[in-house]
Amino acid sequence: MATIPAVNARTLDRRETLFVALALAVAMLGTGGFALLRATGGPRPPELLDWQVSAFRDLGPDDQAIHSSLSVAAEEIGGLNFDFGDWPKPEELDKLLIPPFYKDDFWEQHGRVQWRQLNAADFNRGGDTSYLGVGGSAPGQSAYLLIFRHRHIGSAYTNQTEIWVHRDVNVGEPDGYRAEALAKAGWRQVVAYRGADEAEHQKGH
Amino acid sequence: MATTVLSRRMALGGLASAAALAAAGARAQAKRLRIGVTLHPYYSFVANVVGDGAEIVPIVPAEANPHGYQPQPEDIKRAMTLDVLVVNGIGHDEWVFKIIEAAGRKDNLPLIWANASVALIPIGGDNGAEKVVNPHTFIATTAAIQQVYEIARRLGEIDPPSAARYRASARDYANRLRKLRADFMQRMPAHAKADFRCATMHAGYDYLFQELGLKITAVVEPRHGVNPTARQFAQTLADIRAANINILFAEKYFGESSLAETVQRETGVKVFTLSHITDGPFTPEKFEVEMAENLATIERAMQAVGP
Repeated sequence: MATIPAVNARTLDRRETLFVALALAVAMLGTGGFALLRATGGPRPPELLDWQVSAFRDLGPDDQAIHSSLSVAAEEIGGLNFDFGDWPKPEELDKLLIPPFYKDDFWEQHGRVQWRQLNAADFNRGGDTSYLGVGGSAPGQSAYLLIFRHRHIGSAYTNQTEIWVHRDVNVGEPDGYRAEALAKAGWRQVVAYRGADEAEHQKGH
Repeated sequence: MATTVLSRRMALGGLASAAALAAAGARAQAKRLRIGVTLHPYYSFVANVVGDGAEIVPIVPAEANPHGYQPQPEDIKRAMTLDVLVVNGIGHDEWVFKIIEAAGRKDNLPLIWANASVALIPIGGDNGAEKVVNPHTFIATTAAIQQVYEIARRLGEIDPPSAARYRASARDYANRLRKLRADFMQRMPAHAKADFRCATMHAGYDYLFQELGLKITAVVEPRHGVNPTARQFAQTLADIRAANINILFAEKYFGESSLAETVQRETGVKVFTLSHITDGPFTPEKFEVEMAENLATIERAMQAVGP
C-alpha cells in the first residue's frame, strides 16, 4: 500500500485549531441553527436551490453510487490532508484502495471514470483543491467535481467539501470554483440527505 | 459539506449542551470513559478506535433483536452510568431514546450520531415512486469507514488528550475495512455478474451491494421489519419470476426461513444467508468477521449462477 509522504512543517496547533473551529461552529449556529429550528416538526429534506440536485432523490444509480463513495473519499482525503499536509493524487488514492479512485470492478461497473486533480490548495494559505472525474461510459452518467474549500481564519482552518455533477460527461475544467460560476457553466451541486437530516426528521415525529 | 454538518450536529442535541460536553471531557481526564453503544457494529467501531483506553458498554443484551426491541430495567441502569453514547440514530435503535429518558439522562448524556455525515440512500427494489431511507449503514465497509471517522472525531472532542490516538486508530481500522472490500473486489467472479440477479428478504443490504457495484432487484419485505401480506407476497413472487431473479439472500439471525423456503419453492431461486451483524457476542472483531462472511457468501452466490 502506498503511503502519503509527510510534508510541510505544520504551522497550526491542532488543539488550538479544534477550539477555534468549535467557536466558528457556534457562530455558524446563528444561521444554520435558525434554519434547523424552523425545520423541526416534520419530514423536511434539505431544500434545494435551482443549481442543486438531491443525491437521494435525483441521481441515477451510477451517479448515486459514485456520490456515496466520493463522500467517504472526501472524508479520507481531508484526513490525509490533516495528518500529512498534502493533497493525494488520484493515483495515490487508487493505490490506497479508496473508491471511486480505486480501479476495481466498482470502477469498471460505474463507467471507468478518469480522475485528475486540478488544483491543490496551499496548506498554509488556503484555496481550493479539486478533483475532476470525466469520460464515464455508463448510460446517463455525469461528470463529477469534488471540491475542498480550504479556508484559514486566524490560526484555524476548515475544509468544506462539495460534490458537483455535470450532464456533459466530457466537460472541461471549470474556469472558476465559485458556486455562481460553476452553476453558470452547467454544474449542479449535489446535496446529500445525511444521517443528521434523517435524525432531525425522526425527532420531528 | 463538512462545516455545515458540524453546525447540524450541534443543533441535533447530540451535544445536548456545552456543559454536558465539558462534564464528559472532565470525566475523561479523571478516569476511563464509559462509552455506551446500541448495536453490535458500533461496539466494534468504538473498540477499534479507543482500544483499551475506555470501557465500552452495550446498552442492551447481545441477543436482543433491534427490530422492535422493548427496553428493560437493566438497560436503564446501564444508561445511568455512561459518559457518552454512540447511536446509529436513523433506525434500529430508536428505543434507546426511551432508555435515556427513563434513566434521567436526556439532558446530560452526550450522544455521538455515527451517521451524522453519511450520505443516505433509498431502499432498493421496486417501491414505486416512493423512496424510503435505508438505515443499514452499518452493514457496509465504506459507510462504516465514515462512521468510524465520525466516532473518532467526536470522541476526540470529548477527550482531547486522546484525540490524535483516536484518529490514528480510526485510520488503521479504516485501512483494514478498505482492504476487506478490496480483497473481495479482486476475487469477485465478475464474469458471473451478467447472470446474477438477486432479491433480499430484508432491505438491509443496499449500502453493501452499492459499494460492490451490484444491484438488488427486489426486496420481499414491503417495509423494514414487516412481513408481506398474502397479496404483497404473491406480487413479490410474480416480480421475482418476471425479473428472472435467481438468488435470494435471507437473514442469518431472523426467523424468516419458512418465508424464504416458500420463495425458493415457488420460484426456484437459490437461497443464501447474510448477517445483519446485530446478534451474538459483542466483540471488537465482530464487524470484520461477519462482513468477511457476508462477502464470502456473496461470492458463493455469484459462483452458483455464473457460467
